[in-house]
Amino acid sequence: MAKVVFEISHSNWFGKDYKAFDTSFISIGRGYQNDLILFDTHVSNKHLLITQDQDGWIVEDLQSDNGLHINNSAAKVKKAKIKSGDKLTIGRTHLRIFSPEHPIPKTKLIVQTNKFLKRLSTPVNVCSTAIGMLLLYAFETLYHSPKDILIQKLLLSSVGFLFIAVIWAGIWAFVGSVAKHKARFFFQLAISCFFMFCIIPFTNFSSYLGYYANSQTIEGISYIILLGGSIFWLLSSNLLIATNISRKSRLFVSIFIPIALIAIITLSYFAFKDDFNTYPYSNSTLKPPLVRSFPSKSIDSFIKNGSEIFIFNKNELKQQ
Amino acid sequence: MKQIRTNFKFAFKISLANFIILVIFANNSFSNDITDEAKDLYIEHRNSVYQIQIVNNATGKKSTIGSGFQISKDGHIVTNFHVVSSAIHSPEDYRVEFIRSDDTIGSAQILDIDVVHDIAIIKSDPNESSFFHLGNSDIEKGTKIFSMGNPHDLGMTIVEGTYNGLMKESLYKKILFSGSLNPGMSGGPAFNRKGEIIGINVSTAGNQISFLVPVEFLSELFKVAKTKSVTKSLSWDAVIERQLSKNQNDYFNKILSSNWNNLSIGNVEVPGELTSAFKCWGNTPEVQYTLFKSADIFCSNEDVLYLSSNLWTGEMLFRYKWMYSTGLSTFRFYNLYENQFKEKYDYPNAKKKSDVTNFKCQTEFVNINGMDWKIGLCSRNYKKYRSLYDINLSMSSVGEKMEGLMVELVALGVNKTKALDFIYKFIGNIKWQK
Repeated sequence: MAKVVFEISHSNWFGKDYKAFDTSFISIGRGYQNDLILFDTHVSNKHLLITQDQDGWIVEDLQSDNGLHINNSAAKVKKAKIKSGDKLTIGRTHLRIFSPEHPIPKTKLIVQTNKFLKRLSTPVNVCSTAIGMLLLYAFETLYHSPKDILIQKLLLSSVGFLFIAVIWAGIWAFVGSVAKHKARFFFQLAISCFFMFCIIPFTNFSSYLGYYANSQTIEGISYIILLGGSIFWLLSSNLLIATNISRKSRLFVSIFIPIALIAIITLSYFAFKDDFNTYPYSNSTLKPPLVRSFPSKSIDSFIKNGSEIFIFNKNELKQQ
Repeated sequence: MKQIRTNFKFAFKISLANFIILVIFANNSFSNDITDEAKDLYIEHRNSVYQIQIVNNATGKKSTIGSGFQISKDGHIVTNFHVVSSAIHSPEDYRVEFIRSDDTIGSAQILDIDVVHDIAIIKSDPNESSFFHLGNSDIEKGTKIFSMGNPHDLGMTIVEGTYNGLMKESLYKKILFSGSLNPGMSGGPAFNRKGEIIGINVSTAGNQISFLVPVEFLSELFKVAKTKSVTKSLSWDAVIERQLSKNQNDYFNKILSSNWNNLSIGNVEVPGELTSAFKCWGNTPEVQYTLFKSADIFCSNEDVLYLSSNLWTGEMLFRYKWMYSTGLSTFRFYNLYENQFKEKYDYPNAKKKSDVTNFKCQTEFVNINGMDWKIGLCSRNYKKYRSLYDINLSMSSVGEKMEGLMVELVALGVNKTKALDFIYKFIGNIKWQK
């Protein structure tokens, strides 16, 4: 649970940004060693230190050049006790400090996003997510095999996937220990296991959807949405736990990376689409006859439509 | 170069003469005692048989060798189309030369071709060499015949063998010659004791099984060719396309009008040997699982038309795979079924972008005689012969939870109308037995 939320605004910016911290000490400044980094040239390298107190916070100016102003007062303050809702001005940046219980909708929102992750990261849930993931991957291996496989072998094959989740969590724990001085490995492990747990049903869902709709486009779109959404959730959760970057930057990074991946895949599809190959690629998904969603055509109308595949344009017929 | 043969995983090695003599290295050569008869014939005809070589203009080196023989005093020389094909497709890069028995070299121009029967007539200047007279191939089985040619560039040889009649089950009439033909003898003459041409050497399946083009096709071509003169500007592509189109049209008319032998696989009645040119083979895969079973049938017409070293056509084949679950859940069964369905025939007949386009496909669910099928239909166009397409029909039954049949049909070098007519008849003949 976050312990403090900052509302950050700047005289030259449009809009406000929110950041939540769950530590008892928060350093603020322009330098990268700070917990809250402000890109404001009028802010000193090490500007403020905020320490949690019993019913509020103590703010302390770390001998900055431009000083600290509280609640629009003209006087420079060296050290003061502040409460939720107070406004701090350093350089040209305005910070409002809120307690998570403060009745402002935006702070509620920030605090709420953490609830699911918080619940996910309890030891019981981390273990059950990891075990669930192991079982799901074991089942997936069995599902693709023509013969029955011993449960031990199946589990062994899915341990590899758990290992991937552990490595991913390890990377973010390292990032966390650098950026926030807190690794929170189990938190990260819960996130990566949950992500890997979700992508299997998502992938299967897409291919079933594509089959019953007889459309590779629908399959592709559904796959992009579900997988893109999962990657977005994974990255934003990892960033939320490991770093103190603002909500805006977090959203930007976690949207940008999946979009960049999709763009690269789309681009490479179009780049290699017209390359010569001797293989007849047609939509070959087959799923059990569970629902009859498609109207079957008659042979006559199939043959009638069939003439479309004999039409090739000049570009396709070019000899070189 | 590779053997031309079907590339299915379960294509059976038992296969007839699908390959061209030039690209095959025969097994141990067979040594005949040279009788005096053969010696006399050799002496009589050696001046009318030539080595044909295709020379690369840039390097001046030969790229292909074969044999040929003279059939008129005007300098008409006969060889195989596949011997001179590179000079036909890229006349700016290759020229045709022939070497006489006294090692002198002459140059020749391509006069006419019959791509379906693999014959080419080339023309050199009129000369004093002796020449062969054309006979006919309607002779008694067992008659002794002789073949001449230049195997592996080792020098002119004469081979004695037996005439074993026309192959009944081939799409294109061929004489079965029991004698050893080897690479380099393509285009050489096969003649009787009187020195009359019976056929032209064309291909081998090794072990004394060799094939000749019957002389009648040559006589027909020569009738037209002798009135022609060499025109350099002629586009051979148009000639080849015309001949291929006519051939596939006749062939498909024959298939469409004939009564097909139906086979049954699993619960399904399917088309089997469409004409006598087709052969079907059954197979149960070596690896069997306890949780599901499968069985295959593979049919093909085993006839190919050689167009160039990168392109052949004319072949048709289809395969069936029946699968049923004996212990898998329907989800697992369909997963395996899907994996099998994803394996498609990888067309080995054209490997170059300059010859064919990519495949264009569409997929539909179709109800055939009461059963739902998922059908993918693909085609690709020949770039030089635009009325012709390679076809892939790949279908899978999707109405049963624990069993299914997959069908893949491959037809090379077909026009659009015939292809669709044929597919219509083919899928209409697939009947799921309740």
